[in-house]
Amino acid sequence: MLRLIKKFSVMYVLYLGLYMVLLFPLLNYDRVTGPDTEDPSYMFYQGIFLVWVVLGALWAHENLEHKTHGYRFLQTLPLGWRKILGAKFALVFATTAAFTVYQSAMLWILTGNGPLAAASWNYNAVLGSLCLILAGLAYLGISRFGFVLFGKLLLGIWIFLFLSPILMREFILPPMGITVDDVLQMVIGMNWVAAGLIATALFWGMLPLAACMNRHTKA
Amino acid sequence: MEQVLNLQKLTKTYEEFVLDKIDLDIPRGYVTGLIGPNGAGKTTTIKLIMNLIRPDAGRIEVFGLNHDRHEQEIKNRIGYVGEEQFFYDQRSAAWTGRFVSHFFNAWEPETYARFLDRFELPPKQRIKKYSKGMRVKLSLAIALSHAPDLIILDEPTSGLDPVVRRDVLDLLHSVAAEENKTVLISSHITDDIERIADYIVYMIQGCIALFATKDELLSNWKAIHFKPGSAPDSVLDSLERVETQIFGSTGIIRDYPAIREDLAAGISSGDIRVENVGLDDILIALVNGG
Repeated sequence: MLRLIKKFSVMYVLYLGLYMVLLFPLLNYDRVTGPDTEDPSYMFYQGIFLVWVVLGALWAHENLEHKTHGYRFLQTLPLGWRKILGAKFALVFATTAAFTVYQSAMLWILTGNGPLAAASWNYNAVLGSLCLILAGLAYLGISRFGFVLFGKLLLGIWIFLFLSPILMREFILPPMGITVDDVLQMVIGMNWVAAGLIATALFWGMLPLAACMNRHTKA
Repeated sequence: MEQVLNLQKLTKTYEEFVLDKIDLDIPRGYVTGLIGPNGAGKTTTIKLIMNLIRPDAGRIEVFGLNHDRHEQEIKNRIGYVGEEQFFYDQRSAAWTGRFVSHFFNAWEPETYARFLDRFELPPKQRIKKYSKGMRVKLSLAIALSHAPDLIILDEPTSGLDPVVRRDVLDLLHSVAAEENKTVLISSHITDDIERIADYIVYMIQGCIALFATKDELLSNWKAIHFKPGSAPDSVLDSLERVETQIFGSTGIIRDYPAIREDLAAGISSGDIRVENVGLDDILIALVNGG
């Protein structure tokens, strides 16, 4: 299992590394050099990167495996589908957890132990939970329909997620009379422990289902 | 005789092809050749055995174990060379060996290194730079480096040059003979099968058309050349693929010992001549509805 995780980890390390080393510092440049805006909507935009990075790494990894015929090679080895998918699920889980902890810790460091830092943990943990469910659903889709078909849809979702904060702020929320701050407060107000536990249970519950679907659709 | 592989009523349906309830037993310790024209179902059968595709119906037992429930255990004991060889092409043979070693219980790194050396495969070169023949050899090196009890090869020599082909076949022959391995090899190149197989399975249009030992086949199936009017009716009735030319006719007979006495007079007079046939002649006879 560890060997598989190591083999599959390239894209996850790359995406996570790029975010940590490049994107996060860029996004927070003002916080370090300029006056700290305690604007909570800032968190709204930054948080979406969690889902974006994990789903992006998932898509890039699956695309790479598809192009290099990785599955077809692995199928010939004494590995069950569940073990192969289990390694992928473990990577998604670890990446989500690492991102959530990193993002929250960095915001805590940058903003000091203020209300924004406290809220950021709740916000990121809830987003992480959402991310796990989306990743699990993505694997169900890939297992059922194959990467060629479902990969395009996943790429579309990924691009949409990247644009979603702008779309929500400019086009979706205003007609509903809701502000970004309202959304943020709603997410922060959620019970992150319950959200995390439910998402984790659902996520790992999708593993045997995806393995089963994969076995029945391979042809 | 102990069976290493048992297929019962195995069925797989595609849009334009049906593998139709095939039953097959592969005996332990022998080389069994799977012969058939392209599209006969050889690769489908092998993919089903390897659990790479799902059967629509039927049962597969390998080493007496259900192939679905015991997939990992079974694959640990199988050396597989597919019709196409898939690897992580950006990686080297050395990396591939280290990678797969984590999944096979009985992986032998020294054996793998020896095969790479014997096949003249540069261990550190990226696999994407390997030729088709080199990929087959690498696949074979992996298949033989974890002490498999059963070696399954799907058209391993297709696309190889004659020198490499001979090398691969000689290796398989020696592995089967000296290490008492069971080998199932599919090919539409009958010469390859004739060279190494003990048992022959003919597959035609998704069905098992014939299963026998190679010796039985080659001693029972004969080509009969006869001048007009020289062959008795009992012989003529048994002949298949009869071709008539100016100086006589030629046909294939399935059970030569049964008509040997009927031919005796014609043979001694020189009007009838009996010749051995190859596995390809038998294949053609079977394909043509013999």
